Parts: sequence; structure tokens; C-alpha cells
Amino acid sequence: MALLLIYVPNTYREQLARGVRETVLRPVLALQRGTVERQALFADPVQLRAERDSLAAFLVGQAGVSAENRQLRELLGLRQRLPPSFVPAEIVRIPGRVSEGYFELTAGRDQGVTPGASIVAAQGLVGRVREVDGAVAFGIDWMNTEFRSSAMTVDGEVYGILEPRRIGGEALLVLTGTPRHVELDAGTMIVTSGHGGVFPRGIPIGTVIGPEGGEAEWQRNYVVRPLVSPAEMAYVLVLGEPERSLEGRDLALAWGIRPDTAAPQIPEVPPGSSGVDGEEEPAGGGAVTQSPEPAEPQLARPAALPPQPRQGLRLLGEVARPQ
Amino acid sequence: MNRVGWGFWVFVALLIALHFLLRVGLGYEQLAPDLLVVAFLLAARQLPAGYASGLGLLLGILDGALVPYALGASALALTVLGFLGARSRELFADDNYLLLAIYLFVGKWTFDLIVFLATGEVFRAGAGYLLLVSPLTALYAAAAGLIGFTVYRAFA
Repeated sequence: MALLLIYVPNTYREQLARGVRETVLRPVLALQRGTVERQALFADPVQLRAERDSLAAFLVGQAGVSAENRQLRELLGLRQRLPPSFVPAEIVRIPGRVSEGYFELTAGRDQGVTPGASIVAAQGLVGRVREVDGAVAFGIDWMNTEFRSSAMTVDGEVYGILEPRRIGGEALLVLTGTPRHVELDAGTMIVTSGHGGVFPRGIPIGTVIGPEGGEAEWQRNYVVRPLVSPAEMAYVLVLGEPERSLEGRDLALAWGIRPDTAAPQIPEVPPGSSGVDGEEEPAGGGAVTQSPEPAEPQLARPAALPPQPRQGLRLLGEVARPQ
Repeated sequence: MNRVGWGFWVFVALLIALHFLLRVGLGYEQLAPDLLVVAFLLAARQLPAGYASGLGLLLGILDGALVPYALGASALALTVLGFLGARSRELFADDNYLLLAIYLFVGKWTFDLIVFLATGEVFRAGAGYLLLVSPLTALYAAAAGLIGFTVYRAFA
């Protein structure tokens, strides 16, 4: 029977594992979630403050661009951008038992996590979701032997496939299948290309260290150092389906510098025009809108923007001063 | 099968519960010894080979449920260990603490070896792990098992 368990298809094996997790191991996993949440309370406040300040600085820079972009799109009659939703989660490493590259997420189906969803950290790509239970999910990171990602340089000139390698004991990625006539310099940023539909386009993955060597005559391979080191895989975001509509929200609203009533009413997206029509938004109140993904251009009713009341900027917290 | 009282089985159940509590529930991971394998190795010596293998299968499923796509490896390892562990009582008695410690050490190391072979992990980073890290974890588990068994004996 034990041998049978090894050779049985993954689907059946996972159903059995899920059954055990949701019954016998349920109290243990509930306790684990509590532990992770408690540990998060004692996370390094200096690091958290630094991350918050970086985010604040980024938002300040993006808020104006976002408003200009929306105005221009409306002037040109382009449909609004549909930002993806995301679910915040924490990564819990699975103890022992050949678990390198596997991890548990403290959010599951109940929070809106779906199988195959991309997982990102502040620095870039972490991995993707493999299995989803009610309150937890399991994912693989870029160190897992099954990890593959279609990737490209930021300028979109060179494409290839990223796969994990252990070089000199260090877990790295290798960009394979790039054309031989193009050479990549060290430090070149590699991002997801969006090909294959596994990961959305444009998520930073890593930077080129140098050629791997031993290339075939028609291609080159490059060693890539991932931006997210294993030690940094703690607090992540699980990307969900694109939101169906902005419903008048924008970054200014998120910052509290524009009252709801003054927000411009963005024209409704006509039924059938969205690439996500027929798909439901992920459940769970934790879903927040984030970096927009461009949607296909489509004619919509041009709408004149109402005048925006100018208000003073209100800081959300104390900005940390450089040491 | 009934050579030991119910107290022993409560002790075994306690070790298994502690394993999941420490390693998973409280998040101590590798800092906590592998009490699941220790408990199973101790229990297997008190059971007929068939029962021990069956118990190994159940505990293996329980253990493997936490690692996606590795469910069968733990089950196979504990099933094999159950059979071997049940046979080991013909070789030495529980009173011999030195042999008991060696039994726990070899048992835990064998467990790691079978799991690594069954999952194919040995071909990736396994060789170094099996020769360097695995013996240390086996030593840790053996020491914890011996202390636990001594405490149990003191109160039994």
C-alpha cells in the first residue's frame, strides 16, 4: 500500500493529504497559524518601518502618474486599466522531509487564493501556488526543481526560460535558450515575460551574473541571481484575478487625500469587454488593488473629468530619517 | 503485543503529539527532534511486524500530508522501518540503553535515507545532507528518545 501511495497520481494523493490536513491535523495547523501571527507581531520594527517608508515614497511618486494616466486614457477613449487583486500571506517553511522549495501559505481558498496564482514579495517573484485548502495553501518557490518561468530582459529584447540550478552550493536560476548572437551584460534585470500564462508579465525575477558556459551552438545560458533570497520569503502577496472595475477608486483615495464624493466616476466597463468577464473576484476582504496591468484598448464613452479639489498632503506615518 | 501496559501507548501518543506540536504548531521545525520517528521506533518493538507496518503506514500518511507530493515517501519509509523495528526486539532488550540508542540512531538515519531515495531528492542535494546533516538529526532524535524513554521508565 505504501508503494501504491508513491505511484498513485498526484491528484488522488493530494486529496488524501488534504483530507488528513482538514481533519486530524486541523488543530495543529490552526495552532501554526496562530504562532505565525504572533511571530509577525514581534517582527523587526526597523525593517517594517523601512519597508513602509519605501512604499510611501513609491506611492507619492506614482499617485500623480496614475492620475495623469487615467485622465489621458479617458481623453483617448481607452478603457480603464484593470488592476489585479492580491491576498497578503505569510510563508511557513515545512519542517524537514525533503521540503526544499515547498512552503505553506497562511491564506487559502477562504481568502481568495487560487491554484496557480503567482506569489510575489516586495523585491520580486517568489513562486506560485500549487495546492489550496480552506485556510492554507501550498506553493513552490524558485528553488523548487519544478519551477520554470518564461522570462525576458526588461527591454523585451531577449527571451528565455528560467530554471533553478544549484551552483557551488548556492541556489540560483539559469536563463536558458537565449539567442547566441545577443550577449547579456552582468547586472541585466530579468523579468517575467507573461508567455505561457503562468506568471503575469513584468514581475522582476533577478539580475544576470554571467554566462553559465557549456552552451549549445545556437543558444546561450546565463546564471541569474534571484532578487528574493530564501531568507526574504516571509511576507508575500498572492496575485489574484484582475478586479472587474476600479469603481472610482484610485491611489489618492487609498491615501485619504481625496474624499470619496470627489472621486471621478469612471465609466462602467461594458459587459463582455473585459478579459475577466464571467470570472468572479476572489473572496475575502483582504483583497486590495495594486499595480495596474494594461488592458486591451477599447472605445469607451469619453468623460470629462470633474475638477479635482486640491488638498494638502497628509502623511500616513512618521517617515524614518536616514541614519 | 500486550507486553507493555497502556501507559506505554500513552507515552507513544504523547511523543507523536509533541512532534506535531513542536515542529509544526509552534514552528520550531528542525530545532525540535523528530519525535514521530522516535515514537514509532519504540512502538514498533512492542508490536508484531504486520501491525507495526500498518502503524507505520498510518503515521507516514499523517506525516506526509504536510508536504505536498511527498505523501508516499514517509509512508513507505515508516512501513519498512516498522517491519524491521518489530524484528529488532529479537536482537536486544529494552533494558540495554546503549543498543536502544544505536537502534534509534540507525532507525532515524534509515528513515531519512528511504525518504530521500523514494522522492529522488538524493540526486539533488541529498548526498551531502545524508552524510552530514542527517546523522546529526539522527543523533539528536536518539538522545531525545533515550531521555524520553528513561523518564517513562522512571514513572512506569
